[in-house]
Parts: sequence; structure tokens; C-alpha cells
Amino acid sequence: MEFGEESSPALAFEKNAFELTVEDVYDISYVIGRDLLKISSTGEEVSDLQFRIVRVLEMFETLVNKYNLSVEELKMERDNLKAELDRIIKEGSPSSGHGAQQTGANQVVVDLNDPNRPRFTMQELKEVLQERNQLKAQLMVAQEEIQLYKSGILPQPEPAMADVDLDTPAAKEDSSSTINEKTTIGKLFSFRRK
Amino acid sequence: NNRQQQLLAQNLQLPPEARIEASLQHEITRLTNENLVRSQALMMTGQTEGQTSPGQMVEEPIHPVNIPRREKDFQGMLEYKKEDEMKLVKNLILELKPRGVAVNLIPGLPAYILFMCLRHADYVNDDQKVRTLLTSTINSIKKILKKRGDDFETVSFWLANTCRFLHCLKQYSGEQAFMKHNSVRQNEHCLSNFDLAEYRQVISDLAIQIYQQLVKCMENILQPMIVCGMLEHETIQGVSGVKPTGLRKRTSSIADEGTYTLDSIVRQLSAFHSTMCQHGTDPELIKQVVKQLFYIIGAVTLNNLLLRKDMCSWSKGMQIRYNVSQLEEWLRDKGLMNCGAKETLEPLIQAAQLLQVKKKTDEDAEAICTMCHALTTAQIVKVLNLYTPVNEFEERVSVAFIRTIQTRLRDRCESPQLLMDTKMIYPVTFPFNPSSLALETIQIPTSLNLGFLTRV
Repeated sequence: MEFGEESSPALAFEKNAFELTVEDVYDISYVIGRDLLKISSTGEEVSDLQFRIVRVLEMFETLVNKYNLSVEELKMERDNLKAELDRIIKEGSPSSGHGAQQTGANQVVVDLNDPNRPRFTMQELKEVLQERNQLKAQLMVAQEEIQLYKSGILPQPEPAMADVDLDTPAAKEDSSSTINEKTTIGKLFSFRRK
Repeated sequence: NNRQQQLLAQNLQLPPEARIEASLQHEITRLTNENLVRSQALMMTGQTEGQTSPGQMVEEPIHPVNIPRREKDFQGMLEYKKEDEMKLVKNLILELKPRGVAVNLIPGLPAYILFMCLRHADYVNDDQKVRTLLTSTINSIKKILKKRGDDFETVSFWLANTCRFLHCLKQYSGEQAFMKHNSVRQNEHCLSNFDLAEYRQVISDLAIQIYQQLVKCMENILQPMIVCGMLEHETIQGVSGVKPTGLRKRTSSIADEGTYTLDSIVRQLSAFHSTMCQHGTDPELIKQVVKQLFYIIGAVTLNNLLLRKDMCSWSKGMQIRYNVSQLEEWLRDKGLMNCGAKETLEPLIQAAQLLQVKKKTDEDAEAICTMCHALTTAQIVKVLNLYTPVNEFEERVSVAFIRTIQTRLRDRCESPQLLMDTKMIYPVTFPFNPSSLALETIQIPTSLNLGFLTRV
């Protein structure tokens, strides 16, 4: 059974510098003092050295103390920040059961269940709008013609009954040429067809 | 310096009044010379910056005006103003921690400092100062013992320092008996004006008080460990009886269920020993402490054994003897074989042997009576009555056998008491232990906050 080892003050000399405590510094002081005593029991030859060592060890004690305190403070701060971060993450995404969603720059997150979510591309939108514009214009022309025929400006009822049906290209050709000859508005809108 | 020595030699031969006058005269001369030297040195500092003589000290930051003197010129005294006395005892006694750089590196430092203050008060022939310093010191030590009397470190620290102070009072008293080991210089430092023999008695009484408190402190710490570690915890495998109380390895000092083992006791003893050494406790005093501790351990263990049937078996006897041998091993390790500690365990050792020997025939009875000289008849009889066989083959001790023992021992004159007195404390002595430390070499470390003291 080893009796002295565990409580031996000399063990302090073997510790890692960053693991030292003030108690170790005191153990170190004791061992050094004992060694000095071996050199000079009266203290005469070594007294200056001895008290310089005391001064150095006092400074060492202060540093070790400060270091350990700082380490403790930093640890506490780190733990506090960690706890806060966890808390914020929990609050940030309550609905989705997933973990963190990573959105890069210039990206939008879309909820697929949203009925008002964007669905069509720009191109699709352009085409639809153009078609609408065309149809609107044709409608206006046709309405005008009806007005003119009703008011009697245009004597021939038949051409007034011209088809405005865009779907039959042959009919279109005939009616467009007829309209173009008979009406001013038709002349104005003759460029409409592509 | 030779001149100083001559003067002092002459001085000691003069009658007291003339002595005082002569020393004052000498002091005046010295101071005048010093002033001359200082004013010269002040003029020279500007020009001789790079040159410092080898023996010169580094300037102390607390007294920027002081010109550092060479070591040889210090007389090993510390001067302070009367109004600083409260601060002195506060920083040096009441608020001083028993562990620190300064006090660990120089054991007994507080005692030396106090004595150096006392020396100066004596030197300037101020009996008021001497008296108040001593009174404050004694009262402060008592105060700290009341406040932190259950802290082993504090009590041990002040026992060591009080003893050191006492030794200083003797060593520098001027009495021939105490000056045998003094150096010439140390003899020069003897008290010149006052005889403090009466105060020595007061301080000696204080030291005894502290010692008793220390023993009580240590006993309180050891108490819960003793029965567990000495009797209950089993370390020898395969020796336990029908109902084993649990076999555990002895590597951990506190076993799984938080019980104490013999190892706990040994570790605690080592801790006590180490701390006392670090405080600079006199080796002779340490021996007495250890002896006292061993007595307590032995007495508590034996008393427990005498009251419990389950402790009186052959295997327990074996366990106890093993434990005792471990304690002896510790004594050997610390160089304490001759302190009388082992002898205090005799009653316990003999009780353990009694558990193991044969207890049937007349020859056995004779052997027992010879062997158990440290046990009383009452104790022997009790053990025999309680003795529990480990297995069915063994028989209990017969009543006839016990009666045989009693008859053989009837001529003994001893107390009928069964149990040992666990509160008994051996009377303590403080053999004179002079120190070779040269007082003039002592400087005041900054961490002690005693900047108001001036080295003289």
C-alpha cells in the first residue's frame, strides 16, 4: 500500500500548467521552502533568493487564481449562450416538424398547401395576357359594327352579321375582307390579324 | 560590525540603567552616521546608476525613500507605530489564511514576525508596547480558535506558530539554558530589557489549550471512520464467517455504498501528518499527536468489539490484526515507530489474539492470562462470553473455562471498568526546539499586507 503518494505536495510539479490550482501553488511553495532550508538552515546565504521566490510565487498565485476564475466565467457564459440558442431555435419553427431549413440567397420558401401560392411561369403569363388583349380588341370592333348597323349607318345587314369567330380561319378571311371594305373602323383595324 | 559586537559585550556587563543609556547613546551615534551616509548616497545616486554593490538589496517599492541597506546591517527587528497594532494582529492573525505562498514557504513565519515586533518594542524599552502586543496576540489567537475551532487546518497552523513563538521567547530570552544552540548573531538578538518568563507560561498554557482542541478536531474527523474501517469492512477474502459483511477490494478508500475502509483511515492520517509538517509543527509534537490518535482509534475499536457479538469471531480477530499491521506499516513509513503509538494499540491487539487462540484447556487459560496483560479481567471475560464460533464444528467458550480465567486473574488489582476511556488525552509537553533561522534575513512578503512594518 502506498501511503505518501496521493497527498504528496511534490505532485503539483508534475501537473499541466493549465490545470494548476492555487492549492498546487501552495504545495509548490512548501517544497521549494523545504529545499531552500537544505541549502541554508539559517537562511543567510539564500534569503534574498528566498524572498524573491516568495514574490514570484505570489504573482503566480494571483495569475493561477485569475486564470481559473476566467475559465469558470467563460464556461458559464458559453453555457448560457448555448441555452439561449436552443431556446430560440425551438421558438423559430413551431409548425414544421422538420429541422432547420436552409434557405440560400435569393430564394423563396413556398408552402405547397397555400392556395394562393405562385403557379405559373412568366412565359405562360405573357401568352395569356396577349391572347386576352387580342380578344378584347376583336370584341370592341364587333360591338362597334353592331352599333353602326343598328343605327342604320351601315345599310347591309348581312355583312353586319359577319362572324367574329376566330376559330375558323376560312371564315375569318372572308369576313375580314368584307368588313375591311365596308367599314372605316374595319379599315382602321385591318392590321389586327396576323 | 565588530564595533557593535564589542559595544554589546561591554553593554551586557553594565548595570541596567547604564546599559539603557549606553545603548541609547550608541543608537544616537548610529543614526547620525546613517543620516550622513544617506545624504551622501542621495547625492551619488544620479551618477552611479549602473553600479550596485553585490550585497545591496533591490529597493523595496513600499518605502521609496529608504536607501536599501546591506543584509549585515539589519538587526532582525520590526518597527511599527502603536496605532498600527490592531492592523498588525488583524492581518497577521485574525485574517491570515493557514495556507498561502509565504506561510508555506517559510513555516512559522507569523511567529517570527510577531517576535521581531516584540524585540523592537523591547529594544526601545517600551513596556507598554510589549504588554499590549503580547496581550493582543494571545487574545487574537484565542479569538480565531473560537471562530474557526473546528477547522483542522486553522487549529494546526496556530498550534505550530504558538509553539514557535514560545520557542523564540526562550531562545532569545538571554537565559543560558536556552542559548546552547544559538549562533553569535542570535545571541546578539536576545531581549535586552524585559524578562518575559511569566508570559512564556501564559503562552505555554495557550498552546496546551490549542493542542486539546486539535485533538478534538481530529477525533471528530476520524470518528465515523473507525468502527467501519477497523471492524466492519472486510478486506481479507475467504476469511469471513457464515454471514459475510461483504467482500470488497481495498483500492478505493470509500467503498461503493459510501462506507469507510481502513484505507480511509490511513489516508486521513496521512493528510493530518502532511498538514502538520507543512505548518512546521515540532516533530516531537507530531509524535505526541499521532500517539494520541492511535490511542483513540484503539479505544474506540476495542469498545465497539466489547459490545457486539458479531465482532467476536476468529475471522474478525484475523481482520483486526491485519488492520493493525497496516497501521504499523504507516507508522514505519512516516518514521514514527518510536512515538509510542503502537503501544497504545496493545489492548486491541491482545483482544484480537484472544479471538484466535484456543480456549479449551487449562494450558490455554494459562497462555491467555500471560498474553492479555493489557486487558482487564472484565474485558477478557466479556470477549470470551461474546465469542461466536464461525461454524458448527466449533463450540462456544465453556462457562468453566471462563471461571478458570477469572480465578487465575483474581489477584490483579485493576479497575472493574469494562470500556476504555476514549476521551482521555495524554498530557502534552513542548520540548524546547530552537530554530537556526537568522532573524535579520526575514523580509515581509507583500501578500501579508504588512507594509506598515519597517525592518530595523
